[in-house]
Amino acid sequence: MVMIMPFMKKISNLLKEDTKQKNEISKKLSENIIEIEDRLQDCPDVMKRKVFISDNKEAYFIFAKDIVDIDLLQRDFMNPILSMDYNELISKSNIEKLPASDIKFCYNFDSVMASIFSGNTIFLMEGMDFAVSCELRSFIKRNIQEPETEKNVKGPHEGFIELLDINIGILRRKIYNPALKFKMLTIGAITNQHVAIAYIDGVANKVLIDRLFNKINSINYDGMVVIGILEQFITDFPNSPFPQYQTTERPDRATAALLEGKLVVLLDGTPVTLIAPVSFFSFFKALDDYSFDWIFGSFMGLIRLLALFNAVFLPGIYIALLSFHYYMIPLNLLIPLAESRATVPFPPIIEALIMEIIIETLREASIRLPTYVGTSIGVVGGIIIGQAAVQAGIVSNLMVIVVSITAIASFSIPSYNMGTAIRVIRFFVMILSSIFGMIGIVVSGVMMFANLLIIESLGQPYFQPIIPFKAKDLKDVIIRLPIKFHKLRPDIAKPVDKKRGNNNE
Amino acid sequence: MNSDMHIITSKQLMVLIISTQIGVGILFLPAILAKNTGHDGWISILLGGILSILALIIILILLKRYSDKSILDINQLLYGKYLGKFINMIFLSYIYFSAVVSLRLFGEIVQLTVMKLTPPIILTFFIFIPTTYVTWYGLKVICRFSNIILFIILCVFLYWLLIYKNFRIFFLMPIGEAGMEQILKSIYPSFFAYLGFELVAIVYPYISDKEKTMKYAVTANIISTAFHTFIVIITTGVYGETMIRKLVFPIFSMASIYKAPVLDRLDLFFISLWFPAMVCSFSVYFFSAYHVINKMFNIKKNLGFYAFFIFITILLSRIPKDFVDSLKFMKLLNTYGIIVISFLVICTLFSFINKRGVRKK
Repeated sequence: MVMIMPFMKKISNLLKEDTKQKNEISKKLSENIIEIEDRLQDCPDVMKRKVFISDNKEAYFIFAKDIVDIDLLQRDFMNPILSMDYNELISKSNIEKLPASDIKFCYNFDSVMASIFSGNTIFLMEGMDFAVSCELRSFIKRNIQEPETEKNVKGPHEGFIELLDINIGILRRKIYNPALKFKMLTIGAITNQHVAIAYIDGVANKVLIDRLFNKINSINYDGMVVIGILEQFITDFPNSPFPQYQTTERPDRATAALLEGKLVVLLDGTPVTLIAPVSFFSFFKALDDYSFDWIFGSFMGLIRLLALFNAVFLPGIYIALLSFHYYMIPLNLLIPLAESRATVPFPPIIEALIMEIIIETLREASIRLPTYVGTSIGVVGGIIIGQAAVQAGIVSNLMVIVVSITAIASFSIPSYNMGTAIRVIRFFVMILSSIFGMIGIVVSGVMMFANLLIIESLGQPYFQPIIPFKAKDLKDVIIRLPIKFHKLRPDIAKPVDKKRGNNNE
Repeated sequence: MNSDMHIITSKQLMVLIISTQIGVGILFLPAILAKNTGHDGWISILLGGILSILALIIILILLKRYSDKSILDINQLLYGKYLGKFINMIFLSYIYFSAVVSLRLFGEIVQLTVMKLTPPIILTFFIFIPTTYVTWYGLKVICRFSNIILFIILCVFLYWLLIYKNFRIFFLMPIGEAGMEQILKSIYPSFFAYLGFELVAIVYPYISDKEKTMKYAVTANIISTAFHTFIVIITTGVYGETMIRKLVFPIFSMASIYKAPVLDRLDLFFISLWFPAMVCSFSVYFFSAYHVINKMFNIKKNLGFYAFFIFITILLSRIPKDFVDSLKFMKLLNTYGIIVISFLVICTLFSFINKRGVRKK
């Protein structure tokens, strides 16, 4: 019985192959071409160039003309092959002598198809039961520019682009060290995109790498149009408003993360990369904080903390104070406030909602408009609506100030993802504060805080190093200590090598 | 139920004990103590603290003898299956009763200080939300959340620096005027502020580093004793005994003394600051009640039962008619708590006689 089992399996496999498409390349070129043409229906970008080698032997060059470098192809692959004899070509060792940079052999049609569409050129010949695949790619790509959403003053002005190879190259150019590794995997049932997980060997924790690798590998979906889809698939707490992975288009930010032992996910087809694991506080850091001295860095940290508080709670506090706790306002502020509120027919919550919704709409409108129209939107929104709304008696003066402060505060948060989270939370705070006053604000604050404590980024607590308390990591939370205190890597990525710099010193 | 979500360290237990003890009780205490002992209330609360530390040490000795068993298992080992189960039921009723009373007091405090006109049932439901959220994620998250109590203690100290000019030491003089008998009698009401450490009997199996537990738990109790004594001393020193008797929440009244330049009154901010402390304190009771019920009746973690449990808790918390009535329930809870703690102390002694299940060294 044991003897028979493998034999049975073989037979059943053979039967299966009969029903399936033919996969092995045969020695007969005509059969191969029929099979390939069958597979390449409605693919107008694939060229099949028929050539004759000596002795009138037929041969084909097959390539997708828009993603190969045709000049190089003619010079380094077609020319040498056409100048060879049939007998020379039939042996693999002769083909390996070709001057092209990468030559591979394919033995079945699946790999032939895969290599055609990844930009390789296929050479097939009569009497050859394999295909030669030569990599001479040339994708149309945009230039390396500074990312629009993450500008800085003193750092480098380059950004990632849409091609994975170029992005890997950019990282290589920043870290000249073989320890920079990339774990490659393919995702997307239809798109077959490549994903690279970058890490520094000997610094990054293997457990985290495996965890991230398994998470990405287990995604079963058509394709990742943007990296946000991938992010949503691998988040542990999808019902939290806070981003649990940091997105960046800046290679310098990615490099800084790699040096801390974090992992960077690069996805083919998007300039945006993911950093994991991250803490809540890393969303309030810009690289400029590090390129200036520690006094400025700490100052900016405090300003952003204040901005965070304003962006979340300020309209809520305004509503709560005016609706319930007006005794909290000092008398000499209460009088002008009452005067400006006297002409407004709405309760504070309606007033605040009107203004906040206008601001959000303005913001949404200005994102998609070209810059020259965007300026006029600013004029319409800022001056006309603000001024006119007050004069028409729809909103009070102080409300306009509160809304403007809130908007400016939320613009000052470096991460766009965190900014959107805060905008959503602000509306919750406003509505709760209009019903329950100060208790509404406190409850929403407590809920936000509880959520920050519950969620984890790649299994690491999100609100560290405050809770759980890690005294050594406090050097870089809001106050940034001088650079000589930064000799240890932060604990969040559980780095294998905890010390920065050479260990033998 | 995911067991990982309950594992805590001894340090986290410390924060947990502090946050259960500092919560609702201390708000009423200065006024109650002033009625009984005048300006010597701080001696009573200090003695109460020392008593609670002794009780905590004895309870920890009991738990240490059974290493990774909670009080529910220990009762069954000590008193046999049926009597043990009966005692567990009493224990559960105590924990649930304290959760319900805490919720009620919590609601009353919020209602009296901030939201006088909101319907109580809606307010109770609303202030319950953070607790339900935190409790659902287990003990670890509650412990993380409880860390906020340290921040609150810090804020209280900083605030005291702002108003230290109002503090008059002669309000506390002469020490011991009320007489030994009165001071000792007042330990009884002041013990309410320390209730909560007995919950260590339930969370003990989840502590990962048990060798340090004794140190940190006792530290926690010392911190809350010091804090309570400090609060009673400063409120008495600021207001004097005659004034303090008339106040309901002396700590909150104290917050309105300082006139900040932009904000007219700080008391609202102080109440907002105290709110998380009350949430923490209540969450621990609520979690323990929910957890013990699940353990005793073998209920799997599911949302339906959880919602039902929350609903019942809110309904039960409406049983006292008004604020005065709920203060009576508070006194009842205090007596109940002291009985349970004494019972735990007796268990320790009994475990030396009935040695079934004791961990061998």
